[in-house]
Amino acid sequence: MSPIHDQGYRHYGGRREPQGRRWWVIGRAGLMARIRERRVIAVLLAAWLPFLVRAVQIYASANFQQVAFLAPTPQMFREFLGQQEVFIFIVSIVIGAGLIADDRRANALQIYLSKPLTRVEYIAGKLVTLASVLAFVTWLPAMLLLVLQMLFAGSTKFLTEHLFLIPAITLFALVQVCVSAFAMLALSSMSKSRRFVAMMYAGILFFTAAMYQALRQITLSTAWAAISPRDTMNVIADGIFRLPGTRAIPFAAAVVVVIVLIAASMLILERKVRGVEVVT
Amino acid sequence: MIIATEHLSKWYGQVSGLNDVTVTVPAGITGLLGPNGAGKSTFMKLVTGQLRPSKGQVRVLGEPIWGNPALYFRIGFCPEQDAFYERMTGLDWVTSLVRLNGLPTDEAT
Repeated sequence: MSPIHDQGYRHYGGRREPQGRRWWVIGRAGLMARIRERRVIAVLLAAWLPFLVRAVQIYASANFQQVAFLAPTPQMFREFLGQQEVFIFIVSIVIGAGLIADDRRANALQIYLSKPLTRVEYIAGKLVTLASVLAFVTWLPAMLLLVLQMLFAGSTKFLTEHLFLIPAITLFALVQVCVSAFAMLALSSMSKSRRFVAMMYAGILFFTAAMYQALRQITLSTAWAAISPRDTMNVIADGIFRLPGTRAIPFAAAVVVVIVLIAASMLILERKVRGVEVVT
Repeated sequence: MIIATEHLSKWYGQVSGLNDVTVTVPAGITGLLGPNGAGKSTFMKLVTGQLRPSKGQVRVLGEPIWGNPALYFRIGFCPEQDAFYERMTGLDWVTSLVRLNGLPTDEAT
């Protein structure tokens, strides 16, 4: 070892991880930071309570003739994912609101984007953080319910009769996760305050739902469901799970609304996630 | 040359941040001096790839810097504002930044 005053700057000569994995560094750091928080653990535990209730329901229907009417149906899986929207909302606020807002508040964006990291990788990392937790409270419990149904019933009859449930659960959970994650990230990139972001997110969801109800009453048309993400998602869910539902708007229109929502979120992210904020 | 700019200009809307700067900076220590509003910060943001030039070119180590994150492997950048998280220790923060430079976890810590 040479004395410290003899040590000048030296280039790092060790191994480097291949390019294209920086998004994982961002995503992993975000996940590790969040799951250490007690309130996040509490929310995640609460988000699995409906799973326990449904598991008991499936067990009882498989083992007791008196409650055979509780046997699972495709409708049950659609309702389960619908119920989880409450937790999607809470998780999005608790975990997602600060994902970019905190970086902006700490002036960290400029630091991140002066590293060998593209903006796409940065956003992908943030998306992974939120999307993986959202999948943990939607896709994972729904798929586990399918597995439990097979185990409790002791046969694969239900699954083979409703094989479409696997892609249906996966697709609808993916839509739920993408819409919520992109929308929340876009809002998070617009402010330095996670509280303000949370209020914007809640405000948009509740305001659009209320607006839809008001306009529906006034105009007697359900076409206004297109302005409400929540009601649009209901149409998507009924379509994917092959259920009649209310179909406030055509399924294709609901898909277009979702695509527009995600595209608008991406546009906001493209404009807002910059190392240097230019105010003109 | 470490840095070479040609007719480099940057406008913020109607406001000119830097106007037609052609300069080469050799290896070694170079200071950038000037009065407030002279465009020092704008110049630094342009040569570190944080801003896209409105006109002209910036080359660092012989390569264009804008939209070239691979070049950031060879550049150290210290911004003018503090940047740290209240929830992270200094060591955690530096470690995560080093990992962004491609160092494996074991070497970063």
